[in-house]
Amino acid sequence: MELLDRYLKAVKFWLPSEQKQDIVAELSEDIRSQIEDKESELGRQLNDAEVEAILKKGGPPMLVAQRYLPQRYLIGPALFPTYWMVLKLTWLCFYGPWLVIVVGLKIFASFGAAHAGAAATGMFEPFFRSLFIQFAVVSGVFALIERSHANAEFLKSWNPRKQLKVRDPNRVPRSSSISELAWYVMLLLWWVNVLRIPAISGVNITMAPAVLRLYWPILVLIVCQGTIDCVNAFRPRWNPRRAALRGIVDALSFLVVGYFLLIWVQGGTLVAVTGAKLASAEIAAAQKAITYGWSVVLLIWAAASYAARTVQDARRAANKPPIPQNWALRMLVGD
Amino acid sequence: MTQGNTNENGVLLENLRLELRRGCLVLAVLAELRNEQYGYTLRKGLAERGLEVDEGTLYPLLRRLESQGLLASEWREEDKRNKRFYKISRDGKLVLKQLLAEWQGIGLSLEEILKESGHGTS
Repeated sequence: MELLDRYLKAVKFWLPSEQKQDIVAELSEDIRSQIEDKESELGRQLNDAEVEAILKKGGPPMLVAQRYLPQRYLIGPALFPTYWMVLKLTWLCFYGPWLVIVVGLKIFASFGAAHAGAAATGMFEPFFRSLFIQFAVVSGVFALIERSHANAEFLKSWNPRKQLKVRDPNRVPRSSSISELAWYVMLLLWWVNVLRIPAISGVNITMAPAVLRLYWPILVLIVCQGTIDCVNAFRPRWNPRRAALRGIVDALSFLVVGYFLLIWVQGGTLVAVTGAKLASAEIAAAQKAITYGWSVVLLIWAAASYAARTVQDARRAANKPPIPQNWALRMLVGD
Repeated sequence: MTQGNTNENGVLLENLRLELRRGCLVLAVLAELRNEQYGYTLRKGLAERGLEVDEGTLYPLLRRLESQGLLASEWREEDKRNKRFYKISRDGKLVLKQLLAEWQGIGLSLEEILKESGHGTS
Protein backbone atom coordinates (compact mmCIF):
# COMPACT_ATOMS: atom_id res chain seq x y z
CA MET A 1 0.00 0.00 0.00
CA GLU A 2 2.97 2.30 -0.35
CA LEU A 3 1.47 3.88 -3.47
CA LEU A 4 -1.79 4.61 -1.67
CA ASP A 5 0.00 6.15 1.32
CA ARG A 6 2.05 8.36 -0.96
CA TYR A 7 -1.09 9.42 -2.82
CA LEU A 8 -2.95 10.26 0.38
CA LYS A 9 0.03 12.20 1.72
CA ALA A 10 0.11 14.25 -1.47
CA VAL A 11 -3.64 15.00 -1.20
CA LYS A 12 -3.23 15.90 2.48
CA PHE A 13 -0.58 18.49 1.64
CA TRP A 14 -3.11 20.67 -0.23
CA LEU A 15 -5.94 20.42 2.30
CA PRO A 16 -6.75 22.97 5.03
CA SER A 17 -5.15 21.83 8.31
CA GLU A 18 -8.41 21.56 10.27
CA GLN A 19 -9.90 19.12 7.73
CA LYS A 20 -6.81 17.14 6.71
CA GLN A 21 -7.36 14.08 8.95
CA ASP A 22 -11.07 13.82 8.35
CA ILE A 23 -10.95 14.10 4.56
CA VAL A 24 -7.96 11.80 4.15
CA ALA A 25 -9.53 9.14 6.44
CA GLU A 26 -12.70 9.12 4.34
CA LEU A 27 -10.84 9.13 1.02
CA SER A 28 -8.54 6.36 2.24
CA GLU A 29 -11.56 4.26 3.27
CA ASP A 30 -13.10 4.68 -0.18
CA ILE A 31 -9.94 3.74 -2.08
CA ARG A 32 -9.25 0.76 0.23
CA SER A 33 -12.81 -0.45 -0.38
CA GLN A 34 -12.26 -0.14 -4.15
CA ILE A 35 -9.04 -2.16 -3.87
CA GLU A 36 -10.74 -4.83 -1.74
CA ASP A 37 -13.62 -5.13 -4.20
CA LYS A 38 -11.21 -5.54 -7.08
CA GLU A 39 -9.15 -8.10 -5.15
CA SER A 40 -12.21 -10.21 -4.32
CA GLU A 41 -13.25 -10.00 -7.99
CA LEU A 42 -9.82 -11.21 -9.19
CA GLY A 43 -9.25 -13.60 -6.25
CA ARG A 44 -5.75 -12.25 -5.61
CA GLN A 45 -3.88 -9.20 -4.33
CA LEU A 46 -3.57 -6.25 -6.69
CA ASN A 47 -0.16 -5.44 -8.08
CA ASP A 48 1.27 -1.90 -8.17
CA ALA A 49 0.07 -1.24 -11.72
CA GLU A 50 -3.52 -2.10 -10.79
CA VAL A 51 -3.41 0.09 -7.66
CA GLU A 52 -1.92 2.84 -9.79
CA ALA A 53 -4.84 2.55 -12.23
CA ILE A 54 -7.34 3.00 -9.36
CA LEU A 55 -5.46 6.06 -8.06
CA LYS A 56 -5.20 7.55 -11.54
CA LYS A 57 -8.97 7.27 -11.92
CA GLY A 58 -9.35 9.43 -8.79
CA GLY A 59 -7.34 12.25 -10.37
CA PRO A 60 -4.20 14.22 -9.47
CA PRO A 61 -3.81 14.90 -5.71
CA MET A 62 -3.92 18.69 -6.04
CA LEU A 63 -7.13 18.52 -8.08
CA VAL A 64 -8.73 16.09 -5.63
CA ALA A 65 -7.86 18.37 -2.69
CA GLN A 66 -9.04 21.47 -4.56
CA ARG A 67 -12.55 20.00 -4.89
CA TYR A 68 -12.90 20.09 -1.10
CA LEU A 69 -12.05 23.78 -0.94
CA PRO A 70 -14.49 26.64 -1.51
CA GLN A 71 -14.11 28.43 -4.84
CA ARG A 72 -11.77 31.32 -4.31
CA TYR A 73 -11.07 34.27 -6.58
CA LEU A 74 -8.64 37.10 -6.45
CA ILE A 75 -11.13 38.98 -8.62
CA GLY A 76 -14.54 37.35 -8.98
CA PRO A 77 -16.67 37.00 -12.12
CA ALA A 78 -18.90 39.96 -11.16
CA LEU A 79 -15.97 42.36 -10.96
CA PHE A 80 -13.77 40.85 -13.65
CA PRO A 81 -15.26 42.70 -16.70
CA THR A 82 -14.64 46.08 -14.99
CA TYR A 83 -11.13 45.03 -13.97
CA TRP A 84 -10.35 43.91 -17.52
CA MET A 85 -11.73 47.14 -18.96
CA VAL A 86 -9.56 49.29 -16.64
CA LEU A 87 -6.47 47.28 -17.59
CA LYS A 88 -7.25 47.59 -21.29
CA LEU A 89 -7.94 51.30 -20.91
CA THR A 90 -4.52 51.96 -19.38
CA TRP A 91 -2.77 49.69 -21.86
CA LEU A 92 -4.45 51.18 -24.89
CA CYS A 93 -4.40 54.81 -23.80
CA PHE A 94 -1.03 54.98 -22.14
CA TYR A 95 1.25 52.00 -22.63
CA GLY A 96 0.25 51.35 -26.24
CA PRO A 97 1.11 54.89 -27.38
CA TRP A 98 4.19 54.86 -25.14
CA LEU A 99 5.49 51.67 -26.70
CA VAL A 100 4.80 52.71 -30.27
CA ILE A 101 5.85 56.34 -30.11
CA VAL A 102 8.68 56.52 -27.59
CA VAL A 103 10.38 53.26 -28.44
CA GLY A 104 9.83 53.89 -32.13
CA LEU A 105 11.33 57.37 -31.94
CA LYS A 106 14.21 56.20 -29.77
CA ILE A 107 15.10 53.49 -32.24
CA PHE A 108 14.73 55.99 -35.07
CA ALA A 109 16.88 58.57 -33.27
CA SER A 110 19.63 56.10 -32.40
CA PHE A 111 19.64 54.51 -35.84
CA GLY A 112 23.19 54.25 -37.09
CA ALA A 113 24.67 55.17 -33.71
CA ALA A 114 27.36 52.92 -32.24
CA HIS A 115 25.14 51.56 -29.45
CA ALA A 116 21.75 51.69 -31.19
CA GLY A 117 20.73 48.21 -30.00
CA ALA A 118 21.61 48.91 -26.38
CA ALA A 119 19.76 52.25 -26.48
CA ALA A 120 16.62 50.59 -27.84
CA THR A 121 16.78 47.75 -25.31
CA GLY A 122 17.30 50.23 -22.49
CA MET A 123 13.95 51.86 -23.31
CA PHE A 124 12.07 48.65 -22.59
CA GLU A 125 13.28 48.36 -19.02
CA PRO A 126 11.36 51.35 -17.55
CA PHE A 127 8.43 50.43 -19.79
CA PHE A 128 8.09 46.91 -18.41
CA ARG A 129 8.76 48.05 -14.84
CA SER A 130 6.00 50.63 -15.15
CA LEU A 131 3.69 48.09 -16.81
CA PHE A 132 4.27 45.60 -14.00
CA ILE A 133 3.61 48.21 -11.30
CA GLN A 134 0.42 49.34 -13.05
CA PHE A 135 -0.78 45.72 -13.35
CA ALA A 136 0.00 45.04 -9.69
CA VAL A 137 -1.70 48.24 -8.46
CA VAL A 138 -4.88 47.74 -10.53
CA SER A 139 -5.09 44.05 -9.54
CA GLY A 140 -4.49 44.93 -5.89
CA VAL A 141 -7.19 47.60 -5.84
CA PHE A 142 -9.73 45.26 -7.48
CA ALA A 143 -8.78 42.41 -5.13
CA LEU A 144 -9.47 44.75 -2.19
CA ILE A 145 -12.86 45.71 -3.66
CA GLU A 146 -13.60 41.99 -4.11
CA ARG A 147 -12.71 41.28 -0.49
CA SER A 148 -14.77 44.18 0.83
CA HIS A 149 -17.85 43.02 -1.15
CA ALA A 150 -18.28 46.59 -2.37
CA ASN A 151 -19.17 45.24 -5.82
CA ALA A 152 -22.28 43.55 -4.40
CA GLU A 153 -23.78 46.95 -3.52
CA PHE A 154 -22.82 48.33 -6.92
CA LEU A 155 -24.59 45.44 -8.67
CA LYS A 156 -27.68 45.70 -6.48
CA SER A 157 -28.17 49.37 -7.41
CA TRP A 158 -28.34 48.45 -11.10
CA ASN A 159 -31.08 50.22 -13.03
CA PRO A 160 -31.91 49.91 -16.76
CA ARG A 161 -32.54 53.67 -16.91
CA LYS A 162 -28.96 54.34 -15.86
CA GLN A 163 -27.45 52.49 -18.81
CA LEU A 164 -25.57 54.53 -21.40
CA LYS A 165 -27.48 55.66 -24.46
CA VAL A 166 -26.68 54.05 -27.79
CA ARG A 167 -24.31 56.41 -29.56
CA ASP A 168 -24.50 57.64 -33.12
CA PRO A 169 -20.85 57.38 -34.23
CA ASN A 170 -21.14 60.44 -36.47
CA ARG A 171 -22.62 62.67 -33.81
CA VAL A 172 -20.22 64.97 -31.95
CA PRO A 173 -21.23 65.38 -28.32
CA ARG A 174 -21.59 69.08 -27.54
CA SER A 175 -19.75 68.58 -24.26
CA SER A 176 -16.69 67.33 -26.19
CA SER A 177 -16.77 70.25 -28.63
CA ILE A 178 -17.11 72.84 -25.87
CA SER A 179 -14.45 71.34 -23.61
CA GLU A 180 -12.06 70.97 -26.53
CA LEU A 181 -12.78 74.53 -27.64
CA ALA A 182 -12.02 75.77 -24.11
CA TRP A 183 -8.72 73.85 -24.21
CA TYR A 184 -7.68 75.36 -27.57
CA VAL A 185 -8.64 78.88 -26.47
CA MET A 186 -6.41 78.48 -23.39
CA LEU A 187 -3.64 77.04 -25.54
CA LEU A 188 -3.94 79.92 -28.00
CA LEU A 189 -3.83 82.56 -25.25
CA TRP A 190 -0.76 80.87 -23.80
CA TRP A 191 0.89 80.52 -27.19
CA VAL A 192 0.48 84.22 -28.04
CA ASN A 193 1.76 85.10 -24.57
CA VAL A 194 -1.46 86.59 -23.20
CA LEU A 195 -1.77 83.85 -20.58
CA ARG A 196 1.45 83.23 -18.70
CA ILE A 197 2.63 80.47 -16.42
CA PRO A 198 3.01 81.91 -12.88
CA ALA A 199 6.51 83.35 -12.84
CA ILE A 200 9.21 82.13 -10.50
CA SER A 201 11.25 85.11 -9.33
CA GLY A 202 14.59 85.29 -11.05
CA VAL A 203 13.74 82.52 -13.51
CA ASN A 204 12.57 83.03 -17.04
CA ILE A 205 11.07 80.13 -19.01
CA THR A 206 10.57 80.54 -22.75
CA MET A 207 10.16 78.21 -25.68
CA ALA A 208 13.35 76.75 -27.10
CA PRO A 209 14.43 78.07 -30.52
CA ALA A 210 13.68 74.67 -32.07
CA VAL A 211 10.05 75.04 -30.98
CA LEU A 212 9.73 78.70 -31.91
CA ARG A 213 10.76 77.81 -35.45
CA LEU A 214 7.19 76.41 -35.78
CA TYR A 215 5.49 79.39 -34.11
CA TRP A 216 3.21 80.35 -37.01
CA PRO A 217 2.27 76.83 -38.17
CA ILE A 218 1.32 75.95 -34.57
CA LEU A 219 -0.71 79.13 -34.22
CA VAL A 220 -2.62 78.30 -37.43
CA LEU A 221 -3.23 74.71 -36.29
CA ILE A 222 -4.58 75.85 -32.89
CA VAL A 223 -6.94 78.32 -34.60
CA CYS A 224 -8.10 75.64 -37.05
CA GLN A 225 -8.76 73.08 -34.27
CA GLY A 226 -10.69 75.70 -32.27
CA THR A 227 -12.71 76.77 -35.31
CA ILE A 228 -13.72 73.16 -36.09
CA ASP A 229 -14.78 72.68 -32.46
CA CYS A 230 -16.82 75.89 -32.70
CA VAL A 231 -18.61 74.64 -35.84
CA ASN A 232 -19.13 71.20 -34.22
CA ALA A 233 -20.78 72.80 -31.21
CA PHE A 234 -23.47 74.29 -33.50
CA ARG A 235 -23.66 71.51 -36.11
CA PRO A 236 -22.98 68.40 -34.07
CA ARG A 237 -22.84 65.87 -36.94
CA TRP A 238 -19.80 65.01 -38.99
CA ASN A 239 -20.04 65.49 -42.74
CA PRO A 240 -17.30 64.21 -45.11
CA ARG A 241 -15.96 67.69 -45.89
CA ARG A 242 -15.59 68.76 -42.25
CA ALA A 243 -14.13 65.36 -41.36
CA ALA A 244 -11.56 65.69 -44.18
CA LEU A 245 -10.61 69.18 -42.98
CA ARG A 246 -10.10 68.02 -39.42
CA GLY A 247 -8.22 64.97 -40.73
CA ILE A 248 -5.68 67.27 -42.40
CA VAL A 249 -5.37 69.47 -39.29
CA ASP A 250 -5.00 66.37 -37.07
CA ALA A 251 -2.35 64.84 -39.33
CA LEU A 252 -0.34 68.10 -39.29
CA SER A 253 -0.78 68.35 -35.51
CA PHE A 254 0.51 64.80 -35.21
CA LEU A 255 3.63 65.75 -37.20
CA VAL A 256 4.27 68.78 -34.96
CA VAL A 257 3.87 66.72 -31.77
CA GLY A 258 6.06 64.00 -33.28
CA TYR A 259 8.74 66.64 -34.00
CA PHE A 260 8.64 67.75 -30.33
CA LEU A 261 8.93 64.15 -29.14
CA LEU A 262 11.87 63.61 -31.46
CA ILE A 263 13.61 66.60 -29.86
CA TRP A 264 13.03 65.01 -26.47
CA VAL A 265 14.27 61.53 -27.33
CA GLN A 266 17.35 63.01 -28.99
CA GLY A 267 18.17 64.68 -25.67
CA GLY A 268 17.16 68.19 -26.73
CA THR A 269 14.91 70.55 -24.79
CA LEU A 270 11.60 72.18 -25.59
CA VAL A 271 12.12 75.16 -23.27
CA ALA A 272 14.88 77.63 -22.58
CA VAL A 273 15.40 78.46 -18.91
CA THR A 274 17.35 81.60 -18.02
CA GLY A 275 18.11 83.15 -14.67
CA ALA A 276 20.95 85.33 -13.43
CA LYS A 277 21.42 83.33 -10.24
CA LEU A 278 21.17 79.88 -11.81
CA ALA A 279 24.20 77.73 -12.51
CA SER A 280 24.42 76.18 -15.96
CA ALA A 281 23.93 72.66 -14.47
CA GLU A 282 20.70 73.83 -12.78
CA ILE A 283 19.48 75.38 -16.02
CA ALA A 284 20.17 72.17 -17.95
CA ALA A 285 18.43 70.05 -15.27
CA ALA A 286 15.37 72.34 -15.23
CA GLN A 287 15.12 72.33 -19.04
CA LYS A 288 15.40 68.54 -19.11
CA ALA A 289 12.82 68.07 -16.33
CA ILE A 290 10.24 70.35 -17.99
CA THR A 291 10.77 68.68 -21.37
CA TYR A 292 10.44 65.23 -19.80
CA GLY A 293 7.26 66.22 -17.92
CA TRP A 294 5.60 67.71 -21.00
CA SER A 295 6.58 64.78 -23.18
CA VAL A 296 5.47 62.03 -20.82
CA VAL A 297 2.28 63.67 -19.55
CA LEU A 298 1.07 65.57 -22.60
CA LEU A 299 2.82 64.93 -25.87
CA ILE A 300 2.66 61.11 -26.00
CA TRP A 301 -1.04 61.25 -25.30
CA ALA A 302 -1.48 64.04 -27.88
CA ALA A 303 0.43 62.10 -30.57
CA ALA A 304 -1.64 58.96 -30.00
CA SER A 305 -4.83 61.00 -29.93
CA TYR A 306 -4.06 62.90 -33.17
CA ALA A 307 -3.04 59.67 -34.92
CA ALA A 308 -6.27 57.88 -33.88
CA ARG A 309 -8.35 60.93 -34.83
CA THR A 310 -6.70 61.13 -38.24
CA VAL A 311 -7.74 57.53 -38.94
CA GLN A 312 -11.32 58.15 -37.78
CA ASP A 313 -11.52 61.44 -39.73
CA ALA A 314 -10.20 59.78 -42.88
CA ARG A 315 -12.88 57.08 -42.64
CA ARG A 316 -15.64 59.64 -42.14
CA ALA A 317 -14.27 61.71 -45.05
CA ALA A 318 -14.46 58.61 -47.26
CA ASN A 319 -18.08 58.06 -46.18
CA LYS A 320 -17.12 54.99 -44.18
CA PRO A 321 -18.23 54.45 -40.59
CA PRO A 322 -15.50 55.14 -38.02
CA ILE A 323 -13.80 52.16 -36.40
CA PRO A 324 -16.24 50.90 -33.74
CA GLN A 325 -15.22 52.71 -30.64
CA ASN A 326 -14.75 51.14 -27.26
CA TRP A 327 -14.09 53.14 -24.11
CA ALA A 328 -10.35 53.28 -24.68
CA LEU A 329 -10.59 54.55 -28.24
CA ARG A 330 -13.24 57.11 -27.32
CA MET A 331 -11.05 58.50 -24.57
CA LEU A 332 -8.11 58.66 -26.94
CA VAL A 333 -10.03 60.32 -29.76
CA GLY A 334 -12.00 62.60 -27.44
CA ASP A 335 -15.33 61.96 -29.17
CA MET B 1 -16.03 16.64 -39.88
CA THR B 2 -12.33 16.96 -38.96
CA GLN B 3 -10.58 15.18 -36.09
CA GLY B 4 -10.18 18.55 -34.31
CA ASN B 5 -13.91 19.29 -34.56
CA THR B 6 -14.78 15.83 -33.28
CA ASN B 7 -12.52 16.33 -30.26
CA GLU B 8 -13.95 19.80 -29.58
CA ASN B 9 -17.49 18.45 -29.80
CA GLY B 10 -16.55 15.59 -27.49
CA VAL B 11 -15.19 18.00 -24.88
CA LEU B 12 -18.21 20.27 -25.27
CA LEU B 13 -20.61 17.35 -24.88
CA GLU B 14 -18.75 16.11 -21.82
CA ASN B 15 -18.90 19.57 -20.19
CA LEU B 16 -22.62 19.92 -20.93
CA ARG B 17 -23.26 16.40 -19.64
CA LEU B 18 -21.44 17.19 -16.39
CA GLU B 19 -23.41 20.43 -16.02
CA LEU B 20 -26.68 18.56 -16.54
CA ARG B 21 -25.72 15.85 -14.05
CA ARG B 22 -24.54 18.24 -11.32
CA GLY B 23 -28.03 19.30 -10.25
CA CYS B 24 -29.44 15.78 -10.59
CA LEU B 25 -26.66 14.40 -8.41
CA VAL B 26 -27.76 16.41 -5.37
CA LEU B 27 -31.24 15.04 -5.80
CA ALA B 28 -30.01 11.46 -6.18
CA VAL B 29 -27.69 11.69 -3.16
CA LEU B 30 -30.40 13.13 -0.91
CA ALA B 31 -32.85 10.46 -2.07
CA GLU B 32 -30.33 7.61 -1.58
CA LEU B 33 -29.46 8.82 1.91
CA ARG B 34 -32.99 8.38 3.17
CA ASN B 35 -31.30 5.16 4.27
CA GLU B 36 -28.06 5.59 6.19
CA GLN B 37 -24.97 4.65 4.19
CA TYR B 38 -21.25 5.36 4.09
CA GLY B 39 -19.55 6.97 1.10
CA TYR B 40 -18.38 3.89 -0.77
CA THR B 41 -21.69 1.99 -0.62
CA LEU B 42 -23.49 5.17 -1.66
CA ARG B 43 -21.19 5.48 -4.65
CA LYS B 44 -21.70 1.84 -5.58
CA GLY B 45 -25.46 2.18 -5.18
CA LEU B 46 -25.56 5.19 -7.48
CA ALA B 47 -23.36 3.43 -10.05
CA GLU B 48 -25.62 0.34 -10.03
CA ARG B 49 -28.53 2.62 -10.88
CA GLY B 50 -26.58 4.14 -13.78
CA LEU B 51 -25.31 7.28 -12.06
CA GLU B 52 -21.55 6.82 -11.84
CA VAL B 53 -19.78 9.40 -9.76
CA ASP B 54 -16.11 9.56 -8.81
CA GLU B 55 -14.92 10.02 -5.24
CA GLY B 56 -13.50 13.45 -5.99
CA THR B 57 -17.02 14.66 -6.80
CA LEU B 58 -19.06 12.73 -4.25
CA TYR B 59 -17.17 13.41 -1.01
CA PRO B 60 -16.89 17.19 -1.44
CA LEU B 61 -20.62 17.20 -2.29
CA LEU B 62 -21.45 15.21 0.86
CA ARG B 63 -19.45 17.68 2.95
CA ARG B 64 -21.18 20.64 1.34
CA LEU B 65 -24.63 19.16 1.92
CA GLU B 66 -23.68 18.43 5.52
CA SER B 67 -22.41 21.97 6.09
CA GLN B 68 -25.73 23.21 4.65
CA GLY B 69 -27.56 21.12 7.25
CA LEU B 70 -29.16 18.77 4.72
CA LEU B 71 -27.16 15.71 5.86
CA ALA B 72 -25.89 14.40 9.18
CA SER B 73 -22.86 12.16 9.57
CA GLU B 74 -21.00 10.14 12.17
CA TRP B 75 -17.85 8.04 12.25
CA ARG B 76 -18.51 4.39 13.26
CA GLU B 77 -16.53 1.19 13.15
CA GLU B 78 -17.73 -1.49 10.75
CA ASP B 79 -15.79 -4.58 9.64
CA LYS B 80 -12.90 -3.40 11.84
CA ARG B 81 -12.64 -0.16 9.87
CA ASN B 82 -13.72 3.35 10.68
CA LYS B 83 -16.34 4.59 8.26
CA ARG B 84 -18.31 7.79 8.02
CA PHE B 85 -22.04 7.16 7.76
CA TYR B 86 -24.36 9.74 6.24
CA LYS B 87 -28.10 10.19 6.59
CA ILE B 88 -30.51 12.81 5.37
CA SER B 89 -31.53 15.36 8.07
CA ARG B 90 -35.00 16.73 8.75
CA ASP B 91 -34.22 19.86 6.76
CA GLY B 92 -32.80 17.64 4.03
CA LYS B 93 -36.07 15.72 3.76
CA LEU B 94 -37.98 18.97 3.37
CA VAL B 95 -35.59 20.24 0.70
CA LEU B 96 -35.70 16.88 -1.09
CA LYS B 97 -39.51 17.07 -1.27
CA GLN B 98 -39.34 20.56 -2.75
CA LEU B 99 -36.58 19.62 -5.17
CA LEU B 100 -38.51 16.57 -6.36
CA ALA B 101 -41.53 18.75 -7.12
CA GLU B 102 -39.25 21.13 -9.04
CA TRP B 103 -37.64 18.22 -10.88
CA GLN B 104 -41.00 16.83 -11.92
CA GLY B 105 -42.08 20.29 -13.09
CA ILE B 106 -38.94 20.64 -15.20
CA GLY B 107 -39.48 17.16 -16.65
CA LEU B 108 -43.04 17.97 -17.69
CA SER B 109 -42.03 21.33 -19.21
CA LEU B 110 -39.17 19.77 -21.11
CA GLU B 111 -41.37 16.99 -22.43
CA GLU B 112 -43.86 19.60 -23.63
CA ILE B 113 -41.11 21.66 -25.31
CA LEU B 114 -39.61 18.61 -27.02
CA LYS B 115 -43.05 17.48 -28.20
CA GLU B 116 -43.75 20.91 -29.72
CA SER B 117 -40.40 21.04 -31.52
CA GLY B 118 -40.82 17.52 -32.86
CA HIS B 119 -38.02 15.98 -30.77
CA GLY B 120 -40.21 13.77 -28.62
CA THR B 121 -38.37 11.43 -26.29
CA SER B 122 -40.58 8.50 -27.18
